[in-house]
Amino acid sequence: MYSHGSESLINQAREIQEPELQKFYSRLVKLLQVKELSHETLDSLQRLQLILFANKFTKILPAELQQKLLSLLSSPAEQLQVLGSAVLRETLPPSGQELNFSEENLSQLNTHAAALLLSQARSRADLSNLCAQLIRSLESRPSEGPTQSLMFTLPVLNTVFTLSPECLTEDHVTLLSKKLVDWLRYASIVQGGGASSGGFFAGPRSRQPLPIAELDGSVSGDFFTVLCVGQGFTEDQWMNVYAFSMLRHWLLTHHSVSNTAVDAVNRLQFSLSLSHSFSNDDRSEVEGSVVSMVSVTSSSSRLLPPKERLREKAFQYCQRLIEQCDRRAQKKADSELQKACLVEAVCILDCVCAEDASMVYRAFPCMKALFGRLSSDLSFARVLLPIAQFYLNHGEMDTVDCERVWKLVFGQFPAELFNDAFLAYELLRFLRLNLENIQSRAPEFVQFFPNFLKFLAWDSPAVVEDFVDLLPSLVTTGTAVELLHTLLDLPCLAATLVLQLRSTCLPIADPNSRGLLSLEAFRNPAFRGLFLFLLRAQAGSGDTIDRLSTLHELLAEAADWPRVVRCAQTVPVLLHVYFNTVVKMDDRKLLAHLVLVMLERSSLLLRIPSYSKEIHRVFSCHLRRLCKLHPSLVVDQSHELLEFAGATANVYNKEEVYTHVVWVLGEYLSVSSDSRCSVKLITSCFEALEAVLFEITSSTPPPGTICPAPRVITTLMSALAKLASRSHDLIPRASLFLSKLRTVSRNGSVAWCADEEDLVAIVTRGEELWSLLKAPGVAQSVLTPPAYVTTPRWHRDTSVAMPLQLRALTSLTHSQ
Amino acid sequence: MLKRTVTINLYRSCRGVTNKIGHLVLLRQVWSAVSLSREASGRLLVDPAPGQEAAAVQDADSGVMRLRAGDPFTGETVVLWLGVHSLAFTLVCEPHENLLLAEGTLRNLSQHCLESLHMLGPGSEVLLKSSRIDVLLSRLLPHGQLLFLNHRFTQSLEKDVASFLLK
Repeated sequence: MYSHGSESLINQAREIQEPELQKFYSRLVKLLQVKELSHETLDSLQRLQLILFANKFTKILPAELQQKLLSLLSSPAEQLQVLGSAVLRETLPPSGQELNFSEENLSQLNTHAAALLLSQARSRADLSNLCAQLIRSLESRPSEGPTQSLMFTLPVLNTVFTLSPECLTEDHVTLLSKKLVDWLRYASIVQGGGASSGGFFAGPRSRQPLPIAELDGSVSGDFFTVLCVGQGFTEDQWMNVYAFSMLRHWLLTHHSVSNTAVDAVNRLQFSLSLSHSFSNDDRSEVEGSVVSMVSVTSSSSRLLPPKERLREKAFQYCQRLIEQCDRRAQKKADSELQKACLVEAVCILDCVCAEDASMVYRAFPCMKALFGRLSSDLSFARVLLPIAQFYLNHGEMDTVDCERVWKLVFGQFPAELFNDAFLAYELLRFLRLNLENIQSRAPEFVQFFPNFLKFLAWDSPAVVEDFVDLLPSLVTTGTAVELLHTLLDLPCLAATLVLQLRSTCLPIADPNSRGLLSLEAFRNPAFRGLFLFLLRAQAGSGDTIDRLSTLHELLAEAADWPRVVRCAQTVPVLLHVYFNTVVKMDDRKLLAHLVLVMLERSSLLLRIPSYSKEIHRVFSCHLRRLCKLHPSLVVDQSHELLEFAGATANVYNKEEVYTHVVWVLGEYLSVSSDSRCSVKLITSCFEALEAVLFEITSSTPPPGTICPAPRVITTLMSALAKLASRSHDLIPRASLFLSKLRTVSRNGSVAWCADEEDLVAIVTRGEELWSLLKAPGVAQSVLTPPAYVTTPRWHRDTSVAMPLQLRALTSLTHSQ
Repeated sequence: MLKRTVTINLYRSCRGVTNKIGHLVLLRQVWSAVSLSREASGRLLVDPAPGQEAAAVQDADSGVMRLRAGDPFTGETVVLWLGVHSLAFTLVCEPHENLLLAEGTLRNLSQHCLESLHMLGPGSEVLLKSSRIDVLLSRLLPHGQLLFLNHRFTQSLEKDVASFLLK
């Protein structure tokens, strides 16, 4: 479709020069002066629209052309209206002139002219004017007139009060409420468009207008709704559709919680009359249809003021819709509409119940019945979410069993519908918007985090934003460790979900199935437990599994699957969010445990290119941060940290993490950080690091690895120096090593350092440390400074304050 | 692989951004969402032939994105997209709107656009006959209002549009 022809057209439109454009304008003006509609006129208008669209900057048309285009808006030919409106919307209105429609030609206001008015409204006053005029036209309708002219009014009003709800005055709101009630509840119940009973031979007098029908073909027995059909429709039936389409937004915008005395009296009167009418009214049966209970109550609601009356009618309309959705529609498009109507009806009921709490008791039986009907059918999952919202908002009022609802929404939906993008969006949105409420009403939702993460694993780019918002609420003392493991294995979960779907879609003996090895493993009973753990719905059955490395091997070929790769890219982001949250929790025991998890998992990750590297980077950053905040962590976990630091292999394959572990050991293994730090501990740490340093600087790196990064060596050296400065017995040993290093490097290149410049840097650092250690007292204050030195105090520090003050004064008094 | 994407933005007038840069930001995000989704699903793209618009829309990739306030629209928005071969149709919604209805509307509109502008073929009608889209929108999505239309109402509106197209 996007051919060279299209491209050249767009280029032509973009590159048109000013003189040519002016000529085009004048030609167009001449064409528009001719009364008749010609192909050339339409073509030229279309080209003008293309030129305006394709150009980056909005153009101003010559005044004469503007005038001509304006007059097109009231042309009888719709094509001219459309093009006139479209072109004018792309241009700037002439300054000083306003687009005004006087009373007379307002009756000719069509939808395209209205669009232009809306786009060029510059102030609230403009919008208010338009509003007032439209509402006036709704009130006093001419007896004859094209049906079209009324129908766009509600959408325009909807747009206006979206942009600026204050444009409608209280009177307007009252008037519209009344009209909405009329259209919603009292629309004609016979078919429009001249459809009538009787055959070809029936005379005009014996023709009866046909009643409207339901979607399953049966005759309708109650008031008209959007789910009613007919051969043709009357104007008020059209307005019924438009009114319902904007009803929710109207109620949300003009939300008023009724709590005044007058309202209470009205409501009491109404409910009394309600019970009265139930006993008196005659419920006649109409052949072939079921009388709805809803319409019985209509007569008594006339006692209510307009807003409350609208609320009541909205309630009845929604109840009727819910009943109608139980019918089986004959067309597929209609069944889809039924689902959408169910969602809308539930949302509107939620809205009106929020405004008037007494409606909750009337609504709940309906909701419970609906939930019971739909809860076993996953294709209605998106309808069940608004029902869950209703239960969440109003469940306290009635003694309802919400447990079933949460089990369905948190337990079943994510497990079985993780690949439904729309459900994922809606469910995560439900969690996000109701977080506080859910945390108090259903705090067990946190336990379902393995389920929620399935959405993320499946389609990371689409939902990562939501998880950045949601993850902090999933981090609790009970879930933190398991959550960290789950996040680290998220790519494995992504691969498993792919396998799960493939396993159900593909027959067992399909030769074409990609990923055959991992699929076989997935189906193998011996490995079932591993995959089942990943696919668990709830937390609590263990932080992670023992055979994690086996799982990683089985999923090795998944490392280049797009879903897995995308998932791996989002994990570092979420880990940052995770650690930021955990730090705020300030639970030292937990933090100590997390340090261990980081050390353990740094070598236990699914082998995806650059995944390990990214995770190590995140770990390093947060290890440093955690130890800075809680230096005593280092002493707490000294055993494991030393074990990690003492393993030479870690220098080569976990360089980033290793560097930071060594750094925190050097920095925080001191008495000033934690009084439990003994000389023995410092000495054993020194010995472990010394051994590693000796090993890596005395031989070539093992085959298959590159030379250790200079940073590792310098960090090791600095750590040794720091430790030595705290336990002076170690100084001779440290100095010995440093001087040996100087000697060795004098011979030129060494096996463990490829770059000469790096070697120079290392040796320089070595010399600095060696000279520092010659004066132990100085070494101690430089290498283990007291806390007040490392935390900047700026103006609070008298010695620092003076220069800062002087500098500030200078910059204030000296003009630039 | 999307070599060239034409994104038809069925954006509603007057909402949110009124400048073209904002729309470009949106287009880029939709384009990347569509490509990522297609890459992840690994589906092979088959060139739909003219005349198979209904099937093309049925099989199309679809998805939904959340856009935060200010990026690029002033309030938070939801973007629904439908990818039909190298075309993407986008509908921007407010968070309170009915997404099931929006999805159905988007599919319906996309199918009509494809049919009336012969977008599956090599022509350039989408550029030279864009007023057809305006008329379509004025009936099925008037001033951006999503409508609850059962098949009879839809038929009636489609007849109206068809009579316009014939002139």
